[in-house]
Amino acid sequence: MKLDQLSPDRVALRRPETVMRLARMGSFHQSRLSFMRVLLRRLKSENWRFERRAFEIDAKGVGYAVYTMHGPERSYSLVAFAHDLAPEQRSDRVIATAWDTTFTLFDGLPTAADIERLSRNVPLQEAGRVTSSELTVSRANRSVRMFDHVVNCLSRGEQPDTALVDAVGYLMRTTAVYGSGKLGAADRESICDRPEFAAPFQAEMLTVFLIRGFVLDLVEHLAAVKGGERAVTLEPKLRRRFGIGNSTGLGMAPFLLNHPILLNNWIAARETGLARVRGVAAATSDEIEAFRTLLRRGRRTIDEWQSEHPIQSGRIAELKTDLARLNGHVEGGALVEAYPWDRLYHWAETALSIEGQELLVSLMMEPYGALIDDLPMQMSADENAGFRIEGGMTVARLRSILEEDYAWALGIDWQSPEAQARTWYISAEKLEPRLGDRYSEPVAAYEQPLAPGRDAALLYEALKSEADATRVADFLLRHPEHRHILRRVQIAARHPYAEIRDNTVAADVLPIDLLRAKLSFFGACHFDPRSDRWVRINMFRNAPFPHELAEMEFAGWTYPALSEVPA
Amino acid sequence: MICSLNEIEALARKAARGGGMSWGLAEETGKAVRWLSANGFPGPQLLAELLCQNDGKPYCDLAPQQSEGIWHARSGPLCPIVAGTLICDRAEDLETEAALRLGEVAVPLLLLPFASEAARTVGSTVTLEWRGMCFGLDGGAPKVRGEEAALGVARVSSVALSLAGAQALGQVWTGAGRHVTRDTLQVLESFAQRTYAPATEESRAGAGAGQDND
Repeated sequence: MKLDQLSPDRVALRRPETVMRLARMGSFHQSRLSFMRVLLRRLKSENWRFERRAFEIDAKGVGYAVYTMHGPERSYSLVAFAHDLAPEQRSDRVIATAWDTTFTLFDGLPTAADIERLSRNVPLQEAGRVTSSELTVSRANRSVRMFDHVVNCLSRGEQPDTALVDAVGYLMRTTAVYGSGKLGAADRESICDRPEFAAPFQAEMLTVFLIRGFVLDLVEHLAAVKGGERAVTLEPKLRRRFGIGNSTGLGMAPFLLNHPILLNNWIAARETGLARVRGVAAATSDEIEAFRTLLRRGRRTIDEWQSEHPIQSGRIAELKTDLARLNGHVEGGALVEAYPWDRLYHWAETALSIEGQELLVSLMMEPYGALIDDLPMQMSADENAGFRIEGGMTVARLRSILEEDYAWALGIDWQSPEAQARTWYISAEKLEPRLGDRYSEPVAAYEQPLAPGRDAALLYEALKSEADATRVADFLLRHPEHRHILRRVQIAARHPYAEIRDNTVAADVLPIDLLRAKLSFFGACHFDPRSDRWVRINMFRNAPFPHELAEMEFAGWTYPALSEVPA
Repeated sequence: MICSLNEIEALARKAARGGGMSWGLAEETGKAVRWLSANGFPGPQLLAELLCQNDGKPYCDLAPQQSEGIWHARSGPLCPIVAGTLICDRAEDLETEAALRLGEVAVPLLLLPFASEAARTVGSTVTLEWRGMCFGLDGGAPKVRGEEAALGVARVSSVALSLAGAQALGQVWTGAGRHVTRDTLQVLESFAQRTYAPATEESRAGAGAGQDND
């Protein structure tokens, strides 16, 4: 099936009222559109070449390394610094001040002078400065239990315990990957015209991909130092089961609220992909076979997914039941009728949980690269393009947009204590976003504008005393306090998926839903909420390593290989 | 210190909010200061000057009012951010009115990004003028004519904005817009500081991973 063979309007996109709910966004899974997979498809299709240009790490694990990917036009180098960190200093909080390893992605090939400059800044992270020659800054800490176990096993000539590898899934966790001009690095606008950075977060994903390669090399290096002649390296299949962990807390939660056009473009791409697949008139036997294989591999992903969080562990159990039911339905011949994917989706709407429905959305796109893989190029956004307020719009028009797109917000009783129980604010202590209790903590005066529903309702109320024909330019001159939400309402009117249609300051809001939505677009797996406010994930698990890109089996690398499928 | 444009925008937005602006105006300030720095003008320094001038003034003192065809503030000079948003929000009026005239304005160079945006909106060249300075704006890099001394003035007695009949004339400005002095950073950070809440034990405990040596 090719894109030009599809009748484009056969299936409508799902409505924002359905998609843009926190419960659903908090059930998203990685897919072909995820930024990790977009990156690896490009590296593979363009034959990017990997080079380990330096590995100057001593017997204690201290030193630096340079890992470079050479593309058709440019090269990018991860400059890694490994440190000897005392256990009591190891914290995953973004507010920590020392790490096991620190990194930057250099634009090109760093000279000795560059490395010397970076060695004085990158290990300091927020306390250092980089330049527009650097694209990202990052750091990672060891999973001590896993890291020591692997070093010890390999040094004795043994492979590590597979069950432990699967349970933990990584040797190190990144605790931040900064891009887009942070700490003096290059602004995204200065590199976004390069094809390799056209899709979102590609520099950040490349950074993590190379970090993973470095971390596995580091553990093998330390095992060799310790064990000498007896030491072995990791068996390649087992080696690929290590991803890079990540702990993400409230700091990332406001991102989707602060980038409405970007959010719209991500969701619109995913919904367009789903509609295209649902528009396929008949599935070929190859496509059905590809789906059945990915379904089996998807089930293994879920089997490996562990979480002790009460909500997530319940959902995983439900998801396993969903997948068994889906498998039975498919094996019963569900895909042989006309418009099989549309039928399957309709069936899922009542047969599966929201987690199950959203996993199905990802799985259905898997066999259809030719229908899907152009979409990531539409997922970036120029937020500036939506910034200007349409001052000539009348109050009557603004009111009708609010009644349509913010009906969900106008229906909430904002006077009730539960409706506004939370307050997003920035802490003076660490300059990080936090979520406070509006009524018991002294934080309401510092509230960030992250309650669009409440603010839209306030705007609607203020408009009641305005004449229909009044221009919003005149209203804003008298009411500058509504300027931010009025801008947002106008953006939402042009971008149907720009606004999350839920109360983000409600007593029962789960910030992990915001994190999950974003991280699924990155391509993260194994979401493991550690509370309602932070989550652990795994990135690039099962992926090939930089030196394996050319020869590896590729489609669906993120799903664990089956024994009956050649990996 | 050389800052990225994203850092400049984020700091400007926070400082403007700390200086008492509404969130919407603070967002405008961030974009405006970023635009100035991207075009070689000392955006952060101009903003620091403005915030110090306006510290403690309520919006009602700064809000533009029109009398005899001229916009002016109720008390003291116009805030260029408030007046700038007025220019942008009414950009279409430029096509029917002879000129948009402002009375006394503080740090008038901060009007420039808004005038440039207005030029983009109407798709024509726009002229922004005050004593000793004239800018030609067509949505691209601004063209500058005038005395350097008049560029960064702390206030002027009148400003005019009009559609230009012809192409923009003048030089493209080439300054080090991303270089921010320590003094300017300190001023802006002290305003930004006002937007941060004192941390509480409760919020600190829940925000992210703690000691996590698994």
